[in-house]
Amino acid sequence: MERGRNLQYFREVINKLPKRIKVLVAKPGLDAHDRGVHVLMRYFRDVGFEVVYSGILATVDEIVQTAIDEDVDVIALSSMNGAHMVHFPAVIEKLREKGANDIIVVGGGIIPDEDKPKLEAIGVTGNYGPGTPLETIVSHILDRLLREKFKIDSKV
Amino acid sequence: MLVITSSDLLKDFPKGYWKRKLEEKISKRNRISGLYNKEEIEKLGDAEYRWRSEVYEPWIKEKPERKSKFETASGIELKPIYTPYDIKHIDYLEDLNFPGCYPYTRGVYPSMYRGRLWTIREFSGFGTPEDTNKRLKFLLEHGETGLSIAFDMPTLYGYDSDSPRAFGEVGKMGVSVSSLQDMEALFKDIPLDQVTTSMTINAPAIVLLALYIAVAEKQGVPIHRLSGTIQNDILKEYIAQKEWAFPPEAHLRIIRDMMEFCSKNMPKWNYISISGYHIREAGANAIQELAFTLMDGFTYVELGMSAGLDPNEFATRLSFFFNSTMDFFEEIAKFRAARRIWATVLKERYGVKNPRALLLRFHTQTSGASLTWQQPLNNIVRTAIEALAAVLGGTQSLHTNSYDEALCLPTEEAVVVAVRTQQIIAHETNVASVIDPLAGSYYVEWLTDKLEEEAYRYFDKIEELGGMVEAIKKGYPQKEIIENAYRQAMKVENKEDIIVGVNEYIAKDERIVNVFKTNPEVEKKQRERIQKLKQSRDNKKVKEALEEVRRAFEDPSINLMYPILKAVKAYATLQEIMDIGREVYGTWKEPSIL
Amino acid sequence: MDLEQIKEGILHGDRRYIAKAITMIEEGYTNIYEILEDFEEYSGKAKIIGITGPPGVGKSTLISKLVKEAINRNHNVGVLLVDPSSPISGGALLGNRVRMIEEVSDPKVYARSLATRGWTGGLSRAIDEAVLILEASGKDIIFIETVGAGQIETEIFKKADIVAVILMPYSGDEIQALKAGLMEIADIYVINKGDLDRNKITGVTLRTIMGKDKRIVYTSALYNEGIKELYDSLINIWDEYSKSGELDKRRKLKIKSSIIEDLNSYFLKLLDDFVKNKEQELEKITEEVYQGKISRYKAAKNVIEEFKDSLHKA
Repeated sequence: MERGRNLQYFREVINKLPKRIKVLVAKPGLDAHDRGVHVLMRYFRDVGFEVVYSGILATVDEIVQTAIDEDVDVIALSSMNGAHMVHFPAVIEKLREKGANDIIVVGGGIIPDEDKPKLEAIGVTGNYGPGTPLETIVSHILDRLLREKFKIDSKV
Repeated sequence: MLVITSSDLLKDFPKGYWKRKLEEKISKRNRISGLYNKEEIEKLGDAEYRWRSEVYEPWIKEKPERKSKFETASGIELKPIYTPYDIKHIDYLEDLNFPGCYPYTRGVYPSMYRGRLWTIREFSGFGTPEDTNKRLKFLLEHGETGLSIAFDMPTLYGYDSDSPRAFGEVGKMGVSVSSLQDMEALFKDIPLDQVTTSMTINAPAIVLLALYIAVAEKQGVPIHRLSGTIQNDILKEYIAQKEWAFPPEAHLRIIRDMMEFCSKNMPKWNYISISGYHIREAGANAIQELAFTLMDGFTYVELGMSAGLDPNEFATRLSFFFNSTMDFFEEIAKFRAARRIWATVLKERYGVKNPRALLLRFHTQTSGASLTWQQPLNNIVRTAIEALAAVLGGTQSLHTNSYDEALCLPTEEAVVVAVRTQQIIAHETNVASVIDPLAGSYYVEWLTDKLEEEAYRYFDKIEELGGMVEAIKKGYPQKEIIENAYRQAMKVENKEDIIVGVNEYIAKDERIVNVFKTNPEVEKKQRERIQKLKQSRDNKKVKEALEEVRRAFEDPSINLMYPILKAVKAYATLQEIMDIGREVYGTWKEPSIL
Repeated sequence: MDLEQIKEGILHGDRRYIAKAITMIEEGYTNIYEILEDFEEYSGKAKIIGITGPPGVGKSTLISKLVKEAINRNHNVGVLLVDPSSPISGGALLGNRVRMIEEVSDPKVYARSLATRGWTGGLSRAIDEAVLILEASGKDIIFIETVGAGQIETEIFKKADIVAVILMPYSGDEIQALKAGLMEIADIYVINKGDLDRNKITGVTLRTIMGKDKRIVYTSALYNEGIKELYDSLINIWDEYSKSGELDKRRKLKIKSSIIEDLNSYFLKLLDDFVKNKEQELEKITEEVYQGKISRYKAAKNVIEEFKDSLHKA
């Protein structure tokens, strides 16, 4: 399989981080469109992340307990059927309730422009649509990790 | 509780058929068909060799080609040109023949579009049943000839609109239907004996079919006059779309009951639409779409036969649903190969003699995955090309996507453009005047043959795994598809594949305009409606009807269709019925495909 | 988060602290061992069940059912799931949890996926410590699932009290498992999936190969069949071993192998640091060997002597 330059670049950045990054990819709600997350998870593996998957049809409780048990650094939420304004805030709320609001949460899927500021206001950033370069998504996650988790003032 | 297992399905079919077919295909390639003179064809082979070494190679040495390797979207490597030498083994009468003649490579009907054009069938559904009813009437007014209903996620999974699992999802991706009351509103003032209806529903298909029959009864339309299609293809749900309710063995039993019921009562109804569309959208390539879809189809044939039904009869009610995407010639070759494989296997392996039962009739939808939210008007062009491939491939009906569908449910303006695209192909291009016009193209015939061979390779592999049901339980087709999706995504990521407006020719400052929005009140309205229904209906009657449904779920010798029909007429809800199934059979967790 | 806080959290069974502590082990933060020393009194409190077998036999689904059974019997359950790391990127798809997400999301369960991170034998380096942390947190039964990538995964024998080997019926698995050495470590065989007739054929083959005394249980995890029987068998074996002294023997073996592992990793780390500091010198030596000025054997011996000296000085 062909590998792009970007993978190599990310691997170098990631190998220099103080810890191995662990990401939970989660699909809340009645949403079975999982092609995108499966592609993304393989890309995450290939840049050097450890990836846990909630599977489709996950409940908010399952997602949050998994995130805590697995001690993930990042939760990547996906919603392809328009229910993001219900499920994403529910995950944020539950994380706060369980004292796990140090976990970085990013989102993606079919998310209209007008909803993006509302999601960002509660801490769900990114919110990229289908067809977004994988590199853009990993860069966004790394930028947040550097800034918020490792307190390093630089960009990928 | 195991109901119908793969050993039940395969008990009459000894192993080895697929391997034999594959070997046959490969060895056939060395023959020279009677159409060609041996000496002349070998001369041609030599001439091609000389052209390559004396003309072509020196030329590309001077002027290097754009890529080091050219291939189809599914990775079949391509030569710069094709000649009669590449198809020297193809026998016209044996492999192609005339339209309406075995093996139907050139088309299932003798006159194809010269008689009747394909059916324009646009998939639609959103919001409340009343909202969708309005859209259906709008489409009928604009020249659509068949209805096609999309249901929302709760309906697809068999949950009512007031279920906690439905929260945030009601009416979003399709229309919300939880009871007969909703179904009546959906088809209000649409006489069901004058339209053909396609319903995209799988896990709870038996309930939705019962609802449709119940509405027809209320309209006074006799059941045998109902014409249309219910998707009801659960195997591709496990493979790709992932909207199931029970384990495979339980769903197969329900499909068997529907096959029996429809064979007896609904002669014009297609009760399984074997679907490659979702397999493709989930990331498969053309070969995988072809192979997995047809293998699903063979499994349903085995299911019908294991229930004692005659494939000469029931196979006439099986139809197909394919994707048409951007690799123009590969898509056309795929449709042609599909027809040939289906007819061949039904005749040889299942002993079908009735010519009508050998016909692979199919609906096509242009690819949703090929649409981009960037520069959405480009999607009109993509859709037109894909639609043309479907027509040149001999489709029986067609849905063209609307250009704004990568962003939202389609607006009315975009739907009209989609319908007009089909009308332009039908009336302005003149492509519908000659049947299968690409036949005889060296490239298209070679590619058709190649795709067929690759499909047999997959059939053989799936048999090795114990048949399609076992392969699904092992996650085999699922994993093949995802690995292909990742390969494809990396090609786009690395710009080996160019997607206009996405990784090249990118516009600055893209804004999303004119987006269709569903009404946020829908969920509240639907929830109130079903709660009111549960209070106003005769609950004693519902309870009794549901008890009968339970007995039928527990006893596979009772046909489920009858008690479910009785239950929906008593206004039992979708979820009430499906929950009984979930209690009896349990739910399903897919194998890990990471 | 200070150590005392983590320790208290673990002792109270707070999953957040259990999780953080296991991460510290995985990342090699040595200060966590201060807490682990205080946990020694909890060592051996839980029954540790290893689950291994070839890929695709349904190990995860089976564990999910066993977890459910354990919850029903009022146990406090721990689950450790091991998945392989990519040797190229160091990343990993930790795909086992998804098969059991419903069952392990019960408040009575703590489940954790661990990547091998270069560790061989189908396990993670953090297993010993993770087990101890779970025991200290009050878990009384712990399931460990090995990678199941087909290679030899006999390490589980040194980590678990009893080992269940899962096989698929009629698949030739039994022969492969024999080759892989899985048969020597099995306390019980589980023949999972498929219909009963096929199961029986595999059972007969197994008995022919292994003799009559091996325990065999038939299950269909997908359809919840044979789970109670399997669970009972696991507990019975554990009780037998406990009475017969077999359990003590195994636990001593486990301690010994852990000590050896600790030694190994201690010296490996020293060696690693040593090599890192010697990068330039190694380049020089390589060049000399390449030019034939010195033999490779001699050069290596010189470096080893230097390493030994550095140990003395330390």
